[in-house]
Amino acid sequence: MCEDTGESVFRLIQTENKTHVDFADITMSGSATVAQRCHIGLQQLEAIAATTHSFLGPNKRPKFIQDEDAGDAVLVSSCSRLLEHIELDGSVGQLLHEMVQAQQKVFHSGTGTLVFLAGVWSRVALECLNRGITVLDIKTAMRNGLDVCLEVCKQSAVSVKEVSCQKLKELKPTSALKSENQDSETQSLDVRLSQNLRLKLKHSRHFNLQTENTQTTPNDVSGIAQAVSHGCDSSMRLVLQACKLQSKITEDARNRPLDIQKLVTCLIPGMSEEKSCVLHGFVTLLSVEQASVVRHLQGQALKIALVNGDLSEKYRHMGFNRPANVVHITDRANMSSVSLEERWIEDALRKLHEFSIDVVLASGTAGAKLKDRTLGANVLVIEGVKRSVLNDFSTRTGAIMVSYVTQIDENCVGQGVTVSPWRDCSRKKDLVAVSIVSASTSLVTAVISSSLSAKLQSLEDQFWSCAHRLHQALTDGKLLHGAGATELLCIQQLHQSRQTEMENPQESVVLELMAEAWMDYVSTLMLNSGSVVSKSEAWTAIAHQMRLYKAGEAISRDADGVGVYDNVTVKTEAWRRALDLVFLVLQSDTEIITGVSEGEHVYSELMYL
Amino acid sequence: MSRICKKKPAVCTDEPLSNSNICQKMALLRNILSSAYGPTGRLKQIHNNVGGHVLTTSTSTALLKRVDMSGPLLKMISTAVQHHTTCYSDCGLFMGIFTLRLIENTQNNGLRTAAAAKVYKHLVEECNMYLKGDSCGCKVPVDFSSSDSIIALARSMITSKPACMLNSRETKHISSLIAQAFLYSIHCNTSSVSCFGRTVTIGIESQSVSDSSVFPGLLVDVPEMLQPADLERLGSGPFKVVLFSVSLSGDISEVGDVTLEIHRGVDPEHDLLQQLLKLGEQVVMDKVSLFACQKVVHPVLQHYLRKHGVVVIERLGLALMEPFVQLTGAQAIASLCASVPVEAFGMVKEFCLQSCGSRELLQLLPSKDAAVSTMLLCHRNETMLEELKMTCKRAEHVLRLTLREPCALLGGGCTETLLATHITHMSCSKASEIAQALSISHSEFIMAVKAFCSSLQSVALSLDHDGQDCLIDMTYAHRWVPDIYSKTCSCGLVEDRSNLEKTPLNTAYPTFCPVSLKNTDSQPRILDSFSAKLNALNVAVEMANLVLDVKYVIEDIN
Repeated sequence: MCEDTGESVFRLIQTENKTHVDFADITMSGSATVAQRCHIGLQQLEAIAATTHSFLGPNKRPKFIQDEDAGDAVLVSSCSRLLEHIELDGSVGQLLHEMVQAQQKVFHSGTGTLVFLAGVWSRVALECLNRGITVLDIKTAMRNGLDVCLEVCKQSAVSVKEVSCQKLKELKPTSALKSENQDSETQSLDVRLSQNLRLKLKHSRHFNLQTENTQTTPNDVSGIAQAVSHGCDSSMRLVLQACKLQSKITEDARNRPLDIQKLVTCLIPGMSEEKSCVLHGFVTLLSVEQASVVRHLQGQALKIALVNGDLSEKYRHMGFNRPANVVHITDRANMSSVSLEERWIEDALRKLHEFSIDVVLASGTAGAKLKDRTLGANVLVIEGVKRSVLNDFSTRTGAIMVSYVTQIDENCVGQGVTVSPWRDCSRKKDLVAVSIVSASTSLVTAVISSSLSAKLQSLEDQFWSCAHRLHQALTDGKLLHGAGATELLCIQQLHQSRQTEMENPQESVVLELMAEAWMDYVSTLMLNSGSVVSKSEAWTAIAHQMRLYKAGEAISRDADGVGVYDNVTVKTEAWRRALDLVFLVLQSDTEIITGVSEGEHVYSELMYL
Repeated sequence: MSRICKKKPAVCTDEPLSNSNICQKMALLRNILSSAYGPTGRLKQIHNNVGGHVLTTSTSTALLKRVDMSGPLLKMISTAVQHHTTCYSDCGLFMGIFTLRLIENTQNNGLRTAAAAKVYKHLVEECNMYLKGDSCGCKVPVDFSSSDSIIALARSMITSKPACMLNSRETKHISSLIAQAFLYSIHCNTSSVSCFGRTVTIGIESQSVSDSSVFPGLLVDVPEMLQPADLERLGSGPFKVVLFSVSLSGDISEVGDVTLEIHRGVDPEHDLLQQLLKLGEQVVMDKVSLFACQKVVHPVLQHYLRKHGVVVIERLGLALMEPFVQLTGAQAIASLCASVPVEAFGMVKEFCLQSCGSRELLQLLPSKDAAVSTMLLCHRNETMLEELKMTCKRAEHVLRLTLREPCALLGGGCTETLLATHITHMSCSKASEIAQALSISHSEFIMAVKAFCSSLQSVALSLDHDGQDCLIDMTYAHRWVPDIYSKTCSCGLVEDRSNLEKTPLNTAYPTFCPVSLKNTDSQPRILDSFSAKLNALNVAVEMANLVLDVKYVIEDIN
């Protein structure tokens, strides 16, 4: 018997050390003292975020997370991986985790910014509470502050075309000339930028910076790729190779130089990082026995079947419920000794033979016996293939995905697939990489290798984040100046809007605090990238910049920030999400934990309902 | 072998309301509810103890559904509030706060429960009479010939739930969508007014709120194997539809928990699949174009149907069955043995592909006048989207209730202050005679009236969470907050003027008869559902009387 007898416990997120006034029977007006409020939720958010400050900027310092119970450790170098591996039992940590995963899922980048801002904006909100500003006023003012910053992004975005032209110019001069040239170049760009800014501010806020449809050539793409590589040059090189390979295959070039849907990764441990490369088709690791089948099939046009499920007698499609109690009865003593599985394998092999299928790609696993038998029949069976890959093979070969091998008929069989062994990649583990290619597919596999297997995950993450940054840049058609330049403009604009007439005098305080939060962001970025040795030095540098700006000069970035660009949508979405999170926590006052039984030790200090 | 345990004796609590533990828990619940009340209400983050998804909400429905109560009294109150919100979709927090305050005030004033119950019953009747009457000052008519008051009502519902996290532009957009969905749900031909259409709400995460919209017809996820070319091949509609509510997955799980004896050599799965394929053949012969099923369809059957150009939608889910039936006019078939009767087929006028973000959707348009629409709501993250979806559903429901009784109450706490002032004035002027009629003492009556009215006022006070003063004006008895920018009362109906005398709400002030506002041009900004609040008020009083009357709590703890 399992009855839901849990209770709920309450943990206050926001407390006021003003005692609760009982309104019903009290006869006094107002409270004279300012309530000293303490918001645990915002403090938690700030604390968690502070642990990820080293992930901001191009020089990410990886962290080891050790699991004391299991005894193993993982290497992480991004916020999303960090939050995945640490235990967050409170609701605030959980919310942060959900928010970061949502950003990661869509953009594969920007999570560092999101977490950092959630932290510093929590501090802003806390400070405002301390100064006695109401939650409603904080919300209104911070939302206005964000609007100011989003407007800065809208106004200061540059077209990808411009960026790639800039990049091409940079590449030409010799190294001696380069630095000088670069400086003047950026100067001129800065001037143009600030002119743009001034000019555009006159227009309506919905002024669209870029209307013409950009047709990007491969040359442009490499410039843009460089601009958004963010220090991951080798990963971006792989992305570029993939991009070139894809555009070579699809000559129709539907204006999409990089098709992210047709990108797969294959991780190979034990090979040096330099051996990472990009190959046409679907590349995967197989055992030596399977590789021998590949050698046999090499050079032929093969027939293919696609199975969405496991290759075993026991497998049933999703939603199929097995009856719980089944007893098989028999009235004969001697049954034929052939088991159900044997019979099923015979059926499956007969089907494969009947339609002369050479390759089977399955999303699930295959039974050991069937695998043995298919090896003998020279049929290549590949397990654990992603749905997107199956879909691509389906459209390219005409094969129809089935749930059961035994279901295959002549319509389901696809044609025109070739296989070839690529490389014996790890002598110890007896694994061979093979590639499976269907005619005219634009599917491309990035083979990522590292002699340190602990780094593989990070490298794969890096690859995907580069791919998404490039993809996003091409979709947006616009980029923002990176390395803190956009944020410097935000500081400037926040300062400026403080000086304009404001409905609420407290809004000015909030905007000032938000500007300080950006200062923190830029200074951390400068510190992490090594251009300054301390935060105070960074603050001095920023303050200097601000003074120059007021004197009419354009905001210029320090030398290593030149040519670094950020994605518009990724950045603005990360900002929005960070503020959403801060608002959710700011407005919360209670955490309710359900399904707890009274007297449980962990929650002894909490209230029960 | 079973072990026999000695049964524990039942636990009996005498006078539960004098038990400090129970009172503490009640006060905690009241705190939770009143701190969540209104547009600046504080949010609650609810999750389980094993790190599950966090729900951020200030809605009573979501809160009480997830939170388990220990004591039977709390459970009873919680159930009553939940029942009210399922029927009326609004004023759940109001009801909870009012009930708990009424109990608390009765206790604190040391009133006899029997006497208090009599007075409360009398007062709630007075409230009903006043609110339903023509002279009621806190009621405004809702004009359905213009969209303004519909949108105002919808907007009040949305702004009272801060966890939706909308800015003013988004609030405007969503309120007009709610009004639009509401209008879609009314049949065009007025012959059958009694029946509303259906609005289905679907949510898409990670998209901007401004991408939200309302579509006529039904939107379902595009079936996995459906290609745009397949739709083109179908040509133009209308298309014949068949709908199954029985699982077509080909399993024999529907027999239940019994033991099944299967003879060797018999393959029930295979036989069932043959049965399914026979069904498929029949459907193809009947020239069906859309084959829909509430549950799973066996992949072999799907394959067969697709080969014959039939679009298959599986796993519709229970929630979409009724709208689907309304849209197509098909009858859901619950058996796969018999052939499909002619009258069970339905019709769809057209298929369209819609996309929002990464989600591809198939739109089914009705062939007849079927008032089915789909509200597609987008938000940046899951927890905010959940609250938005719930709030929109509730708001649309409130609009439907309002159509039945086309009026609304002033929001922003003004109804509570006005009602409390009116009841105090009425009761005090006729105190002796009413007390005599109720056969209780005069002082008892006055104290009970005070407890009742201060409970009402405390709801209005719960709207504030930032330590600001709440004021009441001594002419119209509306609620005010000291705000230099706002020139009106909380609901927006009364405009401020220099000679309008105001006093803090939680202080003693002389009783007065509220003046009703006549010939005013101004419109209230914030409106509350009339029927929801009226019912909440009545149930709250009944509930409080019931709880006050409980002498023993007997619990079986085995």
